[in-house]
Amino acid sequence: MSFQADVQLVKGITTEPGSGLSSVFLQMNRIPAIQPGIYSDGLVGEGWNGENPIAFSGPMGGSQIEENLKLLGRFVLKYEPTDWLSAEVLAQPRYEELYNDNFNRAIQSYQKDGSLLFTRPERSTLANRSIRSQYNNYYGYLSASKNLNDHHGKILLGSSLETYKVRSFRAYRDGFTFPDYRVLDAGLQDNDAAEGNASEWALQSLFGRINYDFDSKYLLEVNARYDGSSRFAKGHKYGFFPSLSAGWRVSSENFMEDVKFINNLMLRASWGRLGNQNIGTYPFASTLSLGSYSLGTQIVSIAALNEMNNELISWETSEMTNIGMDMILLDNITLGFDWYNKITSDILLKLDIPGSIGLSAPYQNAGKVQNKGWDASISYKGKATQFKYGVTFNISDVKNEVLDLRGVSQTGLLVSREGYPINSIYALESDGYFQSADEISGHASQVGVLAPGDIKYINQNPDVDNIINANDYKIVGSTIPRFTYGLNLNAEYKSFNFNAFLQGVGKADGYLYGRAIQPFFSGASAYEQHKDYWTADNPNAAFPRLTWGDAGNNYQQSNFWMKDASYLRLKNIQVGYNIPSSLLNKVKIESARLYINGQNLLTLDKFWDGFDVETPVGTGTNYPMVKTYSVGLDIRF
Amino acid sequence: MKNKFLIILTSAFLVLLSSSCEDMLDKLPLDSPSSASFYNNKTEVDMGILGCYSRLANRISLKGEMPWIVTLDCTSDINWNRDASPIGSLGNGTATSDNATAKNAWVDFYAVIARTNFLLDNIESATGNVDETYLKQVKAEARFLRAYSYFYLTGFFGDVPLITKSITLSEATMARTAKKEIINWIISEMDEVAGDLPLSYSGHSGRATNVAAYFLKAYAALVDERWAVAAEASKKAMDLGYYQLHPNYGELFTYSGEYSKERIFSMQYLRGVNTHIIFRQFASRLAAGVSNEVPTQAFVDSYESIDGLTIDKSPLYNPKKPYENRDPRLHMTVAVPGTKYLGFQFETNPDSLKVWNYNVSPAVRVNNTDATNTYATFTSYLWRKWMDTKDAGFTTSNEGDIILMRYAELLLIYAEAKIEANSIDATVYEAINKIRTRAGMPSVTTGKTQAELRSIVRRERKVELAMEGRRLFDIRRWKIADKVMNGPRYGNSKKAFLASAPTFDENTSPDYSNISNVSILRTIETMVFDPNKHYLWPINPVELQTNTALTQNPNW
Repeated sequence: MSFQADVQLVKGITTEPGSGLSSVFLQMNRIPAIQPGIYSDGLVGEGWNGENPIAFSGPMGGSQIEENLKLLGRFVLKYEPTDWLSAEVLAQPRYEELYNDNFNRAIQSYQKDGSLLFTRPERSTLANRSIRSQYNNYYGYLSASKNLNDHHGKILLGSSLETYKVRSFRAYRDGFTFPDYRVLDAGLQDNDAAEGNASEWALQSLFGRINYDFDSKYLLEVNARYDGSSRFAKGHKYGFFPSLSAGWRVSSENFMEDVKFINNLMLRASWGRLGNQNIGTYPFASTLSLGSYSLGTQIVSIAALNEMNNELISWETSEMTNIGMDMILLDNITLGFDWYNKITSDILLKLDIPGSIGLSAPYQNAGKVQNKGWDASISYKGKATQFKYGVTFNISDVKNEVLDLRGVSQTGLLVSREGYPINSIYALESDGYFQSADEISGHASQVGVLAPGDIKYINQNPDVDNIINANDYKIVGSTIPRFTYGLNLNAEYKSFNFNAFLQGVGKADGYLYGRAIQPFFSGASAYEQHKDYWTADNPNAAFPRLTWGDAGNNYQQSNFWMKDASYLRLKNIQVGYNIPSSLLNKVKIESARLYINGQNLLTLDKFWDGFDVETPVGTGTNYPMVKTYSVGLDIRF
Repeated sequence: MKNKFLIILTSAFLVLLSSSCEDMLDKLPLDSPSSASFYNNKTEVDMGILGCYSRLANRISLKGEMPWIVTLDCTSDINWNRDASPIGSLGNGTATSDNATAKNAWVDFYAVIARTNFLLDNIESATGNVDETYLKQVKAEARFLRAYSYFYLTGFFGDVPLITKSITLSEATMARTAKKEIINWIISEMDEVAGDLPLSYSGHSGRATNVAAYFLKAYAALVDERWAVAAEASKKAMDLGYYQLHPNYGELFTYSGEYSKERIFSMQYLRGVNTHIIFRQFASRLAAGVSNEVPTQAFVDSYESIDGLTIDKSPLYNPKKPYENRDPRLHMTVAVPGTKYLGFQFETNPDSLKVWNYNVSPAVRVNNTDATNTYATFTSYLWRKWMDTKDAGFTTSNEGDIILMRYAELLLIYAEAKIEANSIDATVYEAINKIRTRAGMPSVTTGKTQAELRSIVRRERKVELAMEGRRLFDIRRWKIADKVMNGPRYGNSKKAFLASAPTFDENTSPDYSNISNVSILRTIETMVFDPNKHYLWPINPVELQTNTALTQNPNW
């Protein structure tokens, strides 16, 4: 009998600018480079209506500090009365406190003559938010095993219970006369606010497993679980999820004895069902949201029904079939291959519903999606006297297809539609530029005031109308990467060692829009690359004619703005040198290693200049990938 | 023996975990009451009906946190939205069927309707616990708000599904009901509920009154050209008394006018609860605004001279000093160059390098960003209506209430209905002249023809009700949108004036083509208007897909 107790305390702190990271990048993309950032006397330049990304990201912008304190426990009571029977009871509580301290300092921006322009935000604001949660996981099982000659059997029966409760509150004040004191008491009381909330869920399971193998040659495992979730209404809470897997170690068979070049060969097959219930906490319940409104100077309480509920929803299930193989050849070559087909049905989705219902859409067990794919890997380890090296290459591909969505076709930039992958790019199909006024008048009508140099769109339904409208949109690309691969190279020679990791995507489409790439979008700036715009003398330009304010036509979603997002990137490269121990012994050092490391040093892609191909969809406000060089020395005493 | 005991203990624990916790899985929201058991007492009834009002004010998202009724004028000829907001595309004809403003108008008004339907379907459970008269009033308020929402839906989209109870997903496949039929329904609803509503509330104009019900009836009838009904309903509302013109037109739209007796129905704003961003959107660059929505040249020129003649006819109009001797409402609605605006001297001429800042004492000279900033006003004008220096320190959290219905418009609805019905009598002149007198304009003298009076009342609506969300429906029902929403939209030059006044048609729509120096005007955008398409907004493709009984508006 044994008892084990682990208690762990983890603290993490993250800091970002008070106005948030994305606002820094948004303004960076937007503001023309000719505007003053910070004047030589330290005053802040105008930025975008007082929103200056340089000031935002410095100390005068304040900061958002998030402190995460976690207390994790793990208590196991294990008991083995005989060698074939064991029982275990486990409790795994997790207590977490997330404390967010968001101080957004009022920044004053100035004209060049020193006169005040904007104060943004108008008052310094401080919001303190505390989210306290407790998660408990109790788990117990009985397990029995029996071996009879070459027959090995094991049976396990257990149950578990998970509970979670979260409580949060947020307090807010503004008007901090002394910005060095970032506590709520230092702010003005006239515009303070407090909010609080709580929610809870529970999950309960009963599970069993049977393992059997014969001489480690034939292996079989059967699993079954019965799960109940508080997220569904009575009568829909439980789901049953069985799975089955089998393995055959071919290399242990007698007939393989003569096949010397195969050191190990294992064939695997499995089938299983899994459930998902991870959606909003109370999607089945019809409840009224509480809030406030005012009448004159008086604050009044309100209650309103905002969301449609769905009492009928239940578990989403995935059914996965997998066939695989592991092999070792010639002592040095390791091969692995897996093929799978996963069909997820009754997907919990918020499908569009008619707006005329006046409520927001409920979760429904509505979708069916197929993921069919494979993974393959090969690695080789070699040695030539003092030179050791290794190569590992892996590649995988998945084909995603929406099989059923109850006929609802989403619109928007990224859509999921029957017969296409999830998050496909939905847009007009561009057909180059209009090169002349005649071409415009002869073409199906498009929006806005058109001129040569504007993007021309293909009319997908010329037999229905002569207008480019919502009916001409179609799926033009997919954002799900295909053929993702990685290559790891390492080598060692005497005291030197080398490691490099490359990763890549064979096929993906990216789509940047808005201020990221569309010149002068909503009054924003233009980049160097936008100089290659359409004129009569430059009819095959990279960008359409430059327009200001009336670019309705060119900024419509179209595959003109879509780019190939495939890439190959040298993620990491490192060269190291182990200082000989003969030198170290004299100064009582056990080992020392000197290294040079580089991250993201090289990328081959066809994506937009200046944007990271690994975040290929959006308006370019993510924190971009950075190149990092480092030199280090590891010393051990 | 001991072994057995422990195994039994473990098994017992397992059984405990798996069976005893049936209740563990019954979790209900900790922060909101169940909809099934609501409306038990007066508190809950109040919370329900105020929730309906709150959805109307917070908010119908035509453009972010702008009050929808004010920003709605961006879709007309008098106001221009500079940035790439979807509402601007509705204004210049570049909108596509997935336009977000049109979509939100649909979704948000139907959300108000859903709240009122939910209340009306369930409120009976409060019977006995709440005073009967009050319960009747609340039901009448909900029906008023529902009809009010349908009025705007039909105005934007034409025929729409008429839903008058809470519906399920399967019931939502519903065809359109003809606009005319919905207007009839609004009129009969208002007839039924007006009697249950009070005349006024103390301390606010945020809830429905009987005057508001007759106002809605009159306005709906006017849009449907049922002149007699419109005249009768507006007359009834005027005769109920209590409401009257505020003495100072300009003040009515500021904090000082918030509790004026001219306000019949308004959206309520209060810092900490619900605020808007008019100040930031309208204010000059110097006053820390972004000058995003600005008056157009066509609108500014529509104001008469102080003698009551349009500027092409008035001897008092001096093209060199175009803003002098004009209808005083011009300067209460629009900030023109050479005036004081929000404590700064407002000049658009880049030669005015420095201007006065009067907000500090003594006043100082500052760089004139209203001339130099790339995004200073594009038309040389700014809005003064709805602006109050009280908001200067809170440019994005303004708390001024926004008028949805006011007494002056009742008078104009009455006058227009009587004129169109050609039953012109002294009361028509009286109604128009009350408004003109308050503004400081000369009265319209008797003996005018129907056409002359029509022209006068239409001009009054254009200038009196600017930035109150009336212009779009007016240019639609008068069928003049294809004229005023087509071709160049003008702003004035930063430093010069037109050599002469434009000429005007009977709807006070200016024509600049004969002016010698017309080229000085800034063409801020070129509008496109297809009369077979743009008289209605598009229905969002998602709506057509999810409600297969619905059809798209023509040519979208």
